[in-house]
Amino acid sequence: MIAFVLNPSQRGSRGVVILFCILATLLFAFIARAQVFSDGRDGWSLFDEHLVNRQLFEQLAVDGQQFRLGGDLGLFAVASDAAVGGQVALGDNELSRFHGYFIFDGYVAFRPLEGIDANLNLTLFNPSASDGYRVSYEAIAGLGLHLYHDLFKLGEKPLRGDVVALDLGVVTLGRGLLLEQVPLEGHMVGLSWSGLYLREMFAGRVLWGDDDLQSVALGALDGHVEILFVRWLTRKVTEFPYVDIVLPAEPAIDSAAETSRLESDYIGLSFDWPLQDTLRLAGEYVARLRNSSIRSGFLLRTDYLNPALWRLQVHLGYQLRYYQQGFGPRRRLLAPDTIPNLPWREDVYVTNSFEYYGISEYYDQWSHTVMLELRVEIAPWLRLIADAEYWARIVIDPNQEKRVVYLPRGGRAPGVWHDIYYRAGFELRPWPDLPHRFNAFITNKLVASGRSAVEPSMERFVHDHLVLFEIEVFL
Amino acid sequence: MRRILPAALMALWACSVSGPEQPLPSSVQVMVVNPHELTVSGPLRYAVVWTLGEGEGIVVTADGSVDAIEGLLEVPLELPSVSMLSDLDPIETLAMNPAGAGSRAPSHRPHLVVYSDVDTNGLFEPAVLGVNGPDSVFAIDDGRLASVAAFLDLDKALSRFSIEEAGIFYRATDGRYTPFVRVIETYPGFVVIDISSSEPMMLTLRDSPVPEAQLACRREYVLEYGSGVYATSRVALLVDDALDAAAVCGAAIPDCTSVDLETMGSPSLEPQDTGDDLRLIQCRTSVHLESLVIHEAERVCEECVCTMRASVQAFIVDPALPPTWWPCGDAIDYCDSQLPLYVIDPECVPEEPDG
Repeated sequence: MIAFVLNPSQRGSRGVVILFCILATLLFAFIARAQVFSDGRDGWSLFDEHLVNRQLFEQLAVDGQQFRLGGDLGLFAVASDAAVGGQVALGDNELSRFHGYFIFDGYVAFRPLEGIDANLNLTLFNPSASDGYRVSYEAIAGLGLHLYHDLFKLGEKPLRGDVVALDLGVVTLGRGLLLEQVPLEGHMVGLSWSGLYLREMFAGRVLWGDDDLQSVALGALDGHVEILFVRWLTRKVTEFPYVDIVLPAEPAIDSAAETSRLESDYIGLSFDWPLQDTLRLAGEYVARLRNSSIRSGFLLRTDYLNPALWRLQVHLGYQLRYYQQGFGPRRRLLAPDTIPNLPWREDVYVTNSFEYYGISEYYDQWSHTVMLELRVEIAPWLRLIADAEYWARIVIDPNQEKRVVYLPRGGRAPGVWHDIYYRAGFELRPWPDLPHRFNAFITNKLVASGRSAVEPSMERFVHDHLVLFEIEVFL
Repeated sequence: MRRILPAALMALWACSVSGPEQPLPSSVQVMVVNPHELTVSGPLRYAVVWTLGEGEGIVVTADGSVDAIEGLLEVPLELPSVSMLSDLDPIETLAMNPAGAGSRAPSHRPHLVVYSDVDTNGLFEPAVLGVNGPDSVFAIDDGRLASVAAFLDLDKALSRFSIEEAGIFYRATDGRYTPFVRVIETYPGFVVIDISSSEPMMLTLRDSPVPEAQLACRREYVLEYGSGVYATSRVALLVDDALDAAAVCGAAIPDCTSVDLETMGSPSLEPQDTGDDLRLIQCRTSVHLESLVIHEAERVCEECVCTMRASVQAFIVDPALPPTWWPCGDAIDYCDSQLPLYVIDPECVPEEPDG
C-alpha cells in the first residue's frame, strides 16, 4: 500500500513523513454524509442519490430527507419515491422501453430493537402504457436483514459488527474499477473500528448469468484507503445465451482448473483523497493474477463538486481508465449483461467497468471521460439542468494478428471512438422547499430494457435522442 | 527532433490501434482416404473450387498434387479476386450460433476436390459446370459432414455479430482475422459454424458419379437413394439346358436363355459393396430347381439425384444335375426364403459390421 503511493523504499524517511501527513489529511478531511454500511453509491456527482435498502432510519434523518412523512414512526421508517413519465422521439429516433411508465419505489424498515433492521424494498413499475392496461406491470422486491452491534471496546472506541443479507443494493468495489453501482444480492459482513474496517462480501449473479463474486476489503481512514481482494467465479462451460447448447470448455489456466468453476483472482489498492471539501482525487490499481502473470487495470478520478456556488451547483469530473488485455474475468469474448433494467440507472455514468469486460480477453482498453453536471436555480421553483459525459475510448489489440470485433451500437475494435451523452432541460418545483418536481429533458441516455426489466440486457443504455417528461413525488 | 518524436509516437499509436485491412489467408487440413483401394490412372491432385453463376464456370484458388493416395494434406485457402466475389454462386447465409439462431452473414462454400488430372496439365478441368474438361472427380467435401465456408465481406459480417458470436468466430479461426471457417450443413441450405471439429476434413475417394454430381449441383443437396439391394430393374435367367427353359421362365421373364452351364463355366463369385457398386451372390433351392443369383447395382446420377440401378442374373439348374463348378451348398450356403428363386432375399444379405 505504502509502496504504491510513494515507494518509500526509494525515497527513505522523507517519504514516510510525507505519507503520514497525507494520511492525516485524509483522516480529518472526511466529507460528512449519511453513513450507510458499505455504501455503493457515488457521492461525487449531482445525479439523484437513491435510497439504499438498509439503515433507512439514518438515511431519512439527514438534511435534505427530513421532509419524508415516515422518517421515524417508532419501530418503522417508511419512504417512497414515485415517478410517472413519458417520451417523445425526435426525428427517426425510437422510444426506449420505459416510454409511458410509472415506478413506485417503496421502502419499509422495521427496527424491533437497536441492532436488528428488517428492510423491505418493493419496486412496482409498468414500463409502457402502450402494452395495454396494466399488461406489463411488474413487481420486484428485495429484503435486506441487517444485524449490527458494538461488540466490545478497543481503547475507548467500539468494534462494530455488521451483517447484511440478502439485498445488498448497489455495490461498488474499491473506486469502481472492477464493479461500480451494480445492484446485487448476497451477503456482506463487516467489522469496523476507529476508521478501520474489514468487509467480506459474497454476491451472486454479478455481470453474467453464471458468475459469483467474493471480496474482502480492508479499509483505513474511513475508507479513504482500501486494499481489496476479489475472487470472481465463473463457470468453465457456459451455455450460449439464447440457445440450450453447450460450447466447448473455456481453456483452463492450469491443471487444477478441471472443476466446473473458473476463478479469477484480483488484488487491488485504492485511495480517495479529498483535497478540499469540494475537490477530491481518487485512484485505484488492481492486478489480476492470471496464469503466473499479472494483468493490470487502473482508474484515476478527480472531481470538483460544489453544491452551493451562488445559484449554481456544479460537478466537473474526469476519469482515466485502463484495462489491460485479459484483465476481465472471462477467458473468451463474452458480453456481460445486467438486471434489473430500471430508469434509476440513468443516474449512473455510461463509463463503467461493465462496458470494458466483453472484449477484455482480446484488447487493451484506455478511456478518458469528462463529466459535467450543472444545476442552475433560475427561481426558487425552477432549475435548469445540464449534464454531459464525454467518453473517449481507445481499444488496442496487442496481438500481431489483429482481430476485429464490433461492439453494440457500432464501435469497431480495435479503434478509437468518442461519444457524448447528455441531458438538458429543467425541473419545476411547485413547492420550493420540497423535492416533488416536474422534469422536462432532452437526452440520449436512457436505460436499455427488454420487454421485461428483469430480462438480462447486454446494453445498459439506449442512445436515441428523446424528450422526456416526468413527474416525481418523494414521500 | 522535437517534432519528430511526437510524430513518431502518434504514428506508432495510430498503427497499433488500426485494425487489419485485408482478411488473412488460411488453410485446412484434409485427410484423403481410400477405403475401397481404388487405383487412379492419372496424377491425383487437389483443388479448391469456387462455383460461379449458371454457365459461368469456376474459379480455382489452389491446385496441388496429392503425393500419396492416402494421407494428410494442408490445403491453402484464399479468397478469389474481389471482382469475382459478386459472381460466386450460391451465396449462403452462415450462422455463428451452432444451433442456427442469432446473426447470419453471406458466405460461399468452395469445394475441396481430389481429382485425376487426366490430361496431366496440372489444372482442374472437370467435365461439368461449363468447363467440359477431361478430369475426373474422385472425392469432394460433403457439406453434410464438413466443409469450409468463406465470408465474402468479413468486416461486414463481424459488424452483424454480437460479441459472443465474434468470440465463436475467433474460436473457429484460432483467433485469426480470416474469412474461412469450418461449417456443417445441418439440413439443406442451413449452414452453421462448426467449432467442435479439430480433426482434418475427410475426403473419401469414390469411383462414382456422385462427387462430380455434387460439384455440378453447386451445393444443391445431392440425394442418394438406396443401397441397391432392392433396386432391381432388369432380370435375366440363364437356364441349364438340362431343363426346359420355357417352362422355367414362363411368360413372366422374357430375358430367358437356355445354356450349357457346364461349358459356360463359373461366373465371378466375388461379392462387392463400395456404397456405389454392389455385387451380391445368393443360392436358393426348391424341390425341382436351384438358383445362383448374382445381383449387381451401380450408382447413377441425374439432375442432382443419384440412385442405384441394379440387374439380376440368375443361373437355374436341376438340383440332381448341377454343373461341376456349382457353388451352392458348398462354397455358398442356401438362403431359406419364400421369394422367387431369381430374386435376392435381403433377409439373407449379411449386414456390415458396425464401424
